[in-house]
Amino acid sequence: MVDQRVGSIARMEARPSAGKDGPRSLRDVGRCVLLFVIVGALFLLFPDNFIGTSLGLAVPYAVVVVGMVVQIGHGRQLALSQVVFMALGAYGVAILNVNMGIPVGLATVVVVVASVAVSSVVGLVVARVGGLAIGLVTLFLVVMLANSIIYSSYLGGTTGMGPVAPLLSGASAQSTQVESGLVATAVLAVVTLLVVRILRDDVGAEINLLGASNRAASSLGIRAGRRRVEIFVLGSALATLGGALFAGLQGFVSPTEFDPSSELTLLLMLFLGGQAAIYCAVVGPFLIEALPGVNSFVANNITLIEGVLFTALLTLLPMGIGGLWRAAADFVRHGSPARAERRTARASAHDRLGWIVGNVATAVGGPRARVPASSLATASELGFGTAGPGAVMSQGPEPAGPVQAFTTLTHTGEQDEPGFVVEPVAVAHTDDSLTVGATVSPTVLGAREVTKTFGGVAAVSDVTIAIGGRGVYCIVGPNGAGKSTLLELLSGGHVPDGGTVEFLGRDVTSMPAWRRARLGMSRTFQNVELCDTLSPLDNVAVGAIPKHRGILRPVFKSVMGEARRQALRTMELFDVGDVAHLPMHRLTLAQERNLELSRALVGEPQVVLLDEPASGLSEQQRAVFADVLARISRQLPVVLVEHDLNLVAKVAKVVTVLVNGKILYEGDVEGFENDPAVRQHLRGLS
Amino acid sequence: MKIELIDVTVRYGSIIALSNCDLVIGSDEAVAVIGPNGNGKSSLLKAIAGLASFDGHIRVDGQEPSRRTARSSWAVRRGVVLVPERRALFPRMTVRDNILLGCYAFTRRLSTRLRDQVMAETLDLFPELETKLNSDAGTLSGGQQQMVAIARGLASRPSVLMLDEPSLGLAEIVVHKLYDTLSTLRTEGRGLVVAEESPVNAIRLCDKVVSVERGTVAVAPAPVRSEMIP
Amino acid sequence: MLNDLFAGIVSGCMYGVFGACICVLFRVSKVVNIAIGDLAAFATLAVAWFITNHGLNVWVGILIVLVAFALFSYAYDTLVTRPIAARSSKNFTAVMFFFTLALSLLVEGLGQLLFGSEVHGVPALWSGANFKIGSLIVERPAILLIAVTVVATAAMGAFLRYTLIGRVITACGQNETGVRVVGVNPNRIRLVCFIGSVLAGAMFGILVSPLLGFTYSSGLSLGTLGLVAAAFARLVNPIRAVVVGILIGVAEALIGGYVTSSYQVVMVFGVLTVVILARPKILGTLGSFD
Repeated sequence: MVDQRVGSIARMEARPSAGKDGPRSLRDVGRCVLLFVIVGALFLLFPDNFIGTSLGLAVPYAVVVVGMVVQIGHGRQLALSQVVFMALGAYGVAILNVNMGIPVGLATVVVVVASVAVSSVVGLVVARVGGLAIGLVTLFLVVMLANSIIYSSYLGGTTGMGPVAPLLSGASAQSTQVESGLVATAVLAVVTLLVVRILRDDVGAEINLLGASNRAASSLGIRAGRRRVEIFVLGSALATLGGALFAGLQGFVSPTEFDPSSELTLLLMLFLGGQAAIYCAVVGPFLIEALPGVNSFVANNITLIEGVLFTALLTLLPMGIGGLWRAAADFVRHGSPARAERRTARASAHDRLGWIVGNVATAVGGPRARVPASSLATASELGFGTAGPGAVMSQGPEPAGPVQAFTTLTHTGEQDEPGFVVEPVAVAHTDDSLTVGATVSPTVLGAREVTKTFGGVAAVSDVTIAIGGRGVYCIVGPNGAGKSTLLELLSGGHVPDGGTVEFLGRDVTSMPAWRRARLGMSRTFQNVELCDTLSPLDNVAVGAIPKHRGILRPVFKSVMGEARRQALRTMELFDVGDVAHLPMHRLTLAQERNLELSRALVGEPQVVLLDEPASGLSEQQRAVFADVLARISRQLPVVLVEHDLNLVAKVAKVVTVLVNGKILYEGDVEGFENDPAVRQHLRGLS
Repeated sequence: MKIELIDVTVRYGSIIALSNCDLVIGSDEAVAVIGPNGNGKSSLLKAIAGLASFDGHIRVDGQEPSRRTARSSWAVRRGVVLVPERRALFPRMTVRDNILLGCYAFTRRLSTRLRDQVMAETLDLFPELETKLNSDAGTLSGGQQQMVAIARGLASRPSVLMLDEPSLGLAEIVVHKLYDTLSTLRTEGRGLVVAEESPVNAIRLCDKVVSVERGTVAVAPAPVRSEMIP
Repeated sequence: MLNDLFAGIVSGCMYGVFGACICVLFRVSKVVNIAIGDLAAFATLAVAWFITNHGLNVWVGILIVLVAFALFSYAYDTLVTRPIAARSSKNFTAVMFFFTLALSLLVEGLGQLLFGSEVHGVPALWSGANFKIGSLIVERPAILLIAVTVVATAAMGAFLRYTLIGRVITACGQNETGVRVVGVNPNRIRLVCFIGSVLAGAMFGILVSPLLGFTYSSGLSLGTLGLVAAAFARLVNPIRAVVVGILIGVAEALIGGYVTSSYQVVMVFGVLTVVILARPKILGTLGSFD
């Protein structure tokens, strides 16, 4: 029997199950319906006092804020151009309706489509820059817009354009207002639902990770540039939609609504409501629009009041009003932390139950036999003992043939998902034997005579390294020897000045990191790069999601449940299963490293690159880590850059010593310990 | 000069990092502080240096700072200088500037004479830094950064120099050189307090061992012999 | 043409000095103070109010306002900045940016409430006849302004570079623990720099107001341009901020005079946009993701 391991990149397709999505999605729909009902009721009840008029302004702004939640709140893309795209929507509808007589509904559609086109082009240029730069550039766009409109007589100059037809005409002016308001609210509810579905699912997790760490996202196969443009387009399209609704509700469009101070007011609105809880997106705009109606002093000194309000809020309620709501909801749902932990234990127990069921099913046979997805070997094989309450270790039958990465169909209450069928794209590789029908590559990953220079200094010169089958391949050397540079050349962080890099038989020398990741390369970082806005479980689950889905896909199909299940299984193998739902800041360094390791391995890569993973760990923790390394390396090749020579001696199959960018020694551990040049350079013994 | 800790407890929120520590350190002693990571070694050094708040008393030569004075500034002025864990250098300032900043401990003016003197002393101890004086500290290797951090500490003219995990992240050969330097400092008569997780090097250097386990401190009687190391 | 250029230099000095104030503060404490323009405008309005409504001598008015501003800055630092710094170190810069944004709204609103919406200016501190050099007409306040800009900026640059305290200021923004172990109390240094930068901005507004005149709302756009200049100086180098500020002012004036006056702002910002997009590295790490 040939001992094989099949590394697989699984393509998951949702098999349509009978009926609707699971309970989680129903909850979201329910909440959006509730939003519609509450706001709609307010429109109906207060049609002619300041509440109704404020809502008429607030709802369109709320649509814009929803887009900002995605862009700024989750993706940390500090794009401040919403006002520009609002203007596109408002003026666009005004032009189409007033000048060309096109009905408002159709005009809205046209304008949103145009916005997608325009923002795609703008986004391609703008979303490439990050940090403060994109904030400045988008702010410049706002300034340029504000100063252009007032000079255009076609757009009505400083006076503006109108009258724009209402969204829905009613019998009287009042009922028109109310009905238009209801239409706008319906749009807000629908938009909220769409965005919630996106944020809850894999794309939402990608967006969060992208905002936290560009490198980590790329290392998992996320195409950062494209996602950023998608985020920009989504935010801008929603801003345009808001602008169109604005025109339809107000009936008049003027340039004072679209200047830099309006952009700042939008930021304030985001902060007040939507940032923490997207359902509260309408709260911020409503408060700000309603403020002038409180009394005349407020109306005349609105800037001052806003300043005071903003300062007070930032000091007392940094997460905004939405944050209060979120905290309350969390408390109601999870109760005290102890309850949350019990829930986690229950969930993992359910998972293990499903695992047993799957194994029994395999034993009984059948075409759709289900076996745990993690082909990293069963927990018992890895020798882990009972992991705590609810843990059930059973002797699953050893799969006789190639391990296919099927998934378990587990209903664990919360995580109800339609059934999945996994089709693995299998690449079998063994140490030295041929497998029928499989592609064999003796060298999984290799660099040939690579050179990389920085500012005239060669960090790496003429280095050749080959990583073959399973085992730990260590790269050691003093600081500044080129170890990190070599790792970056292998993983795609840098392009070499000379030489080639090869992965799975393909030339990947200039292939970007994300593409190498999708081929099956994964890595960890010297400074752990996790996302503080995702739960530990979701941090790992990002490693298991399919990375190629468009930004709107989660509206139709959800894949996060399965990814989470895989993640939890992997986390248990690395002894961090019990932190799955803890807040990220409570994790110790060892837990964080294990989490990052889980994330790197959950996607079943062909090779994993570890960058000084033991740094900062105590002696005891290193000993445990050496065991973990040994077990991982039984399944796939591991490239390890390390300082700790004792650790290296314990686990290495091949040691490569880099000094001053050149290879000093390459061979096995014994040779490494006895080689005189190595002893002199690294250990200072002669 | 004498540093006294009397019933010192260091807390981070609800976690007790160091509990009821009583300790005396003289400026003629070399003390090794050992124990597993996360057990209180850093907290001990930080409390003495004034970087962590604590309950209890820490006195230098019988005195404590007034409530209004920042404890860290007071400690440095009294000659108790810490070389922090992970160096805490200023990455975008030159090596020279990093070291010269140590002089803030006793002066507000950098005369040319003082500057030359400090740099001469530094190069005497760490000749390898000569070519790096104008480089940004962030571009140096770990071992070189450790040298700069020690040089900065020495520029403050300490009576007692404390080092928190100086060999963290350094290759073996660099650690050997580091401890050679510390021996030299010892023979010059400076007090040393070195906190290390792997005790081998530190114990060889020092004549008193303080072991910190789960926040509790135990002092090993001097002289220390290698068999007493757990 | 020369007069346009000169006017551009004058406004450029203003953008640059605001940028320099932002730079020095960021350098020491990682706080971006976009309210600096509004504070300068408020100071000008306040001094003008003291002069017209209470008949005070201009220097006395300036003294009162500067003292009040110093007290206010002390209060703001103690009540807002320090607690936030103690609370969160991760998003500190972003959070403080929002705070200064709120402060800008507050100052503007207060200015509107107290001083109305007319334009005010402080009488020139160096008054007299204008100078004439060829076709160039140079007003005395303008000379004073430019002279103060050059001298103050050069002095600040030298101070930061060559003195021990200057190095301490730079170090405070790079490593908190590091400055503590050399005996620095970073909170005190940051407080002093905050008060200093606010007073400098205020004084500068007072100096420029005879030429430009302020209303309660002039401040934000000036502060924003100051931020732009500072951004090109990577938020840390005051001399570079002033140079960039002057370049922006000159570009603005030349475009306004020669290309188009209505779309002047559009073009200036268009140029800035292109520059940043073409070379995001010009903002240093502020322009990148990791």
